[in-house]
Amino acid sequence: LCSPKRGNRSTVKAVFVLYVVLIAAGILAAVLVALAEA
Amino acid sequence: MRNFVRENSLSLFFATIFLTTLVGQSFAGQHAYSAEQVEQGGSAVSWLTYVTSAHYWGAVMENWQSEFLQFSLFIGATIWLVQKGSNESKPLGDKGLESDERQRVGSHAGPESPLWARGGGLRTRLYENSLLLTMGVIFLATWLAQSLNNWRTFNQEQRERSEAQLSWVRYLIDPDFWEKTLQNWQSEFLAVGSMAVLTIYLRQRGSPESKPVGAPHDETGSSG
Repeated sequence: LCSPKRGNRSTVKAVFVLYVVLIAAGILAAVLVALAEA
Repeated sequence: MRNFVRENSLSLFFATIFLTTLVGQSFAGQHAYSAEQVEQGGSAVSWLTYVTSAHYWGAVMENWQSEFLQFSLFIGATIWLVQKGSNESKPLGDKGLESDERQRVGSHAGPESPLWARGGGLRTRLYENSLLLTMGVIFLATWLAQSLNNWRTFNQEQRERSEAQLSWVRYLIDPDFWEKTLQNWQSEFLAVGSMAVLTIYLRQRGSPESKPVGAPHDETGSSG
């Protein structure tokens, strides 16, 4: 009974995680580049 | 897989064009930066050198921070401020945080409600503001990252001109930083204001960003 709903949730969770990773990676890369240019 | 794409086409489309344009920016930026360097008697830089430079990341973060500021302000302002006739506004009588019943929190939460919406207390207070808090934190982090990268670039240009270097704190009040910041903010504010106002009279059939085509001009927030 629960499996279709659970399946839907996991696909939206994947794009949520994708965006969190993209944003975090961008900010981290920018900060590291700035600090490395010392 | 087909199901995954069908259910997430909007976010996958934007992630794809985001990454494509980010890479495009790096190549265009490398060529523009190299041309500038050569013109000033220096040498062209490789793509790898450019994508690990403060020049590139400063430009990227400048735009990121203004987008996250735009959405943070939009999320926050639309709690209390309204625009009659706009699809981007709540109905005029719904100003404010709204009742627990309407927001389905605490004892009004349903069995499918998120766990943190059910209990009340600090966790619910935190969860009911989590979107604005997260967007706000991302804005501050990207603005900080912009300032650090712009500062490095500014000092590099100062060095090349044999002029004085600035500390990061001093750079934060320099016109160079504020010109780069405000040029991005002004365009975001105009775009948000335009969305709020243009949706009063204009329509796009099928888009949730528009009122239904036949909705009256003074109907507010009808696509919710």
